[in-house]
Amino acid sequence: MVLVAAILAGVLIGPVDLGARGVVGELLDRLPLISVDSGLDERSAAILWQIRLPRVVLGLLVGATLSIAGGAYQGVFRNPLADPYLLGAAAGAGLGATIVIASDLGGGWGPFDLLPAMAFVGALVAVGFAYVVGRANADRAEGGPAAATSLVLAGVAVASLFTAVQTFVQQRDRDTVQEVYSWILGRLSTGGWGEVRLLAPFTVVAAAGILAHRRSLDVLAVGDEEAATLGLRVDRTRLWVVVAASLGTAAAVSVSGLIGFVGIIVPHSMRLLTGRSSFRVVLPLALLGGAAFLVLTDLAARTVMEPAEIPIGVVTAVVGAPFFLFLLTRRPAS
Amino acid sequence: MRRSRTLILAPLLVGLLLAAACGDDDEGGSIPMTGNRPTTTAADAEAASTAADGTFPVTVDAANGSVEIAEQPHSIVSLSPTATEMIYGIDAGEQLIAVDNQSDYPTNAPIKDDLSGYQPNVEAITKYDPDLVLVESDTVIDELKALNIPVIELPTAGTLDDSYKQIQQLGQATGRVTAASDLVSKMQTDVQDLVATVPQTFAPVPVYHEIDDTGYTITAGTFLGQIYQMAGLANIAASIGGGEGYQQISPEQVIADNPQWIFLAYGGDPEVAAVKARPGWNQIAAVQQNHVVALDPAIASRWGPRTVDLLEKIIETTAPGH
Repeated sequence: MVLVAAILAGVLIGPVDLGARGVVGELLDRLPLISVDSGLDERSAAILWQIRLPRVVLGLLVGATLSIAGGAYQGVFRNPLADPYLLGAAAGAGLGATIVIASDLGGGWGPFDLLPAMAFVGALVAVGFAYVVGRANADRAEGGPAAATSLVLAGVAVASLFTAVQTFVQQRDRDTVQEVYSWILGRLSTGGWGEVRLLAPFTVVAAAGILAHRRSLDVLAVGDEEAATLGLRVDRTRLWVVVAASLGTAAAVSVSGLIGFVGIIVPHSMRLLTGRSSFRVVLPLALLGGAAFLVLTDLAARTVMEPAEIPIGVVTAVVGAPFFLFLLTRRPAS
Repeated sequence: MRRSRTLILAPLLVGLLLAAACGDDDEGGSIPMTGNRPTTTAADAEAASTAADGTFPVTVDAANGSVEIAEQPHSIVSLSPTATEMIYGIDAGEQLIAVDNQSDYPTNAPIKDDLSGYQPNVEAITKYDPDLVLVESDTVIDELKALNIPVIELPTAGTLDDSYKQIQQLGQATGRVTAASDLVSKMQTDVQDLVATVPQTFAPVPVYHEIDDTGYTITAGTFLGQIYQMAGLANIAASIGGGEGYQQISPEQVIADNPQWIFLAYGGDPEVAAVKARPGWNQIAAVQQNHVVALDPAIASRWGPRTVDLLEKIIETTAPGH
């Protein structure tokens, strides 16, 4: 219900008033077996179909992907503070994007737009690096930190490294600082169906991969050793969930930049709202809730200071940070 | 985001940067506007005045307050491409010792790669031992003041009158008062003559001017807004954001306002093609009629003597055979 309301609001409200009747009529008209005269002229229809709707759909996909990936990370690392960027995805994507922007290569390269491609590759390289290093440490150190902990530590270190290199590249090329910042703060405004087509398969794969493991995540919640004695192949589960979540996160980041806090607050909100912490319940809800949340924050981002836009990362953080503090006072990090 | 004037300037700077970045490769794409109205040629300047006629010391009433200049400066550093063009326009080019890396016009200006108007570096400036520094923004003014180097700030003009004032200020500062007055009257006459050729239409044609590809545009409160108004066109963004400075417009709004002409202050053919290919923009009259035009970025972002060329270019484009 909330999701449908969010979608409708996202489609109806914008800088140009298209009229509720026209928008709803136009949408219904596209359904099979229904023919409605929406009364919209061609330009209004173009605004709806080619600008507003793809943006709403992109918001749905990015919100859903980041939320479920965040929920999954919180499960595999048994860490309520985990978000989809925990293993360095954000820093890696940021470096990839900054290199493209700073070296002025953004024009496109063969069939690919270089910026999302490099951001995607950067995110996966960072996460892969963190995973390999973290695993190696966990394997070697008998009685050392638990596998989950060493992965998180490796992620933090890799993120710092990539962020440092990113800052260096950015400072070397000061003329493009503003463009880099605007990318880092995230935006859905590039819009168009191209990004939607790019992201949709990854969202499906990530969501399916994570949801397939939702029961294993519940088992994992009792601890690595305990889960192992219950017959769960802990390392393999963790690897698959991390791979699925990272693919989705990397794809989301590559089309929308770094949109923070969604991955943390949405899964936790779902826990608080339902009073249940089981991943079987929380993950599917996070998928839907994240989609609705991001569509609504994007609506705020593009309407609050009309006709200018606030970077969506600012809006999610303004909503997310107070919520996060509230969460910390209620539920101390375990 | 930074505040106030810096915030307003930021998009223009971005536009300039984009312009600078693209300008080199896309010479063929943008439409050259130099030469058809030689406002700043040597001949004009000579005809105006070659003699120094100012008195020193002089106090110039500039945007950054009263600036005391003890003697006629002969080692001027300009960190503003617009100021550089103005200086040559009043035949004071000889008095320049160095100009910033974006000051590409006129081509014989003493351009220095290590001088940046966007990220001014005090040490790089002092290396030239200047007796006057011209800047667009106030970032280095305090540092230079501390070194007893007079600085004149020439911020982005809101109107053509602001441009004229800045030219007069530079006339006083360089000892070329008559040349500055002559240049201003010539610009005013040229503008009047051009405006007189604009066909009087019942409903002004809607036009959209884009500074960069994130949708920054101009309102009525900019010198560019004034130019479009003089050309008899209706800027679709004239009143957004209170009609002040440079504002962002959403692509939806552009489609809804259906401009007949789209002018880009950046890029060339690839950028024109990209604008036409934006989702939904094929519904805009300007795109359908092939009325998307990339202006010479250097002219469309500076408020110096060549704004007259810009006005002429826009009138010629939108009202051919006037």
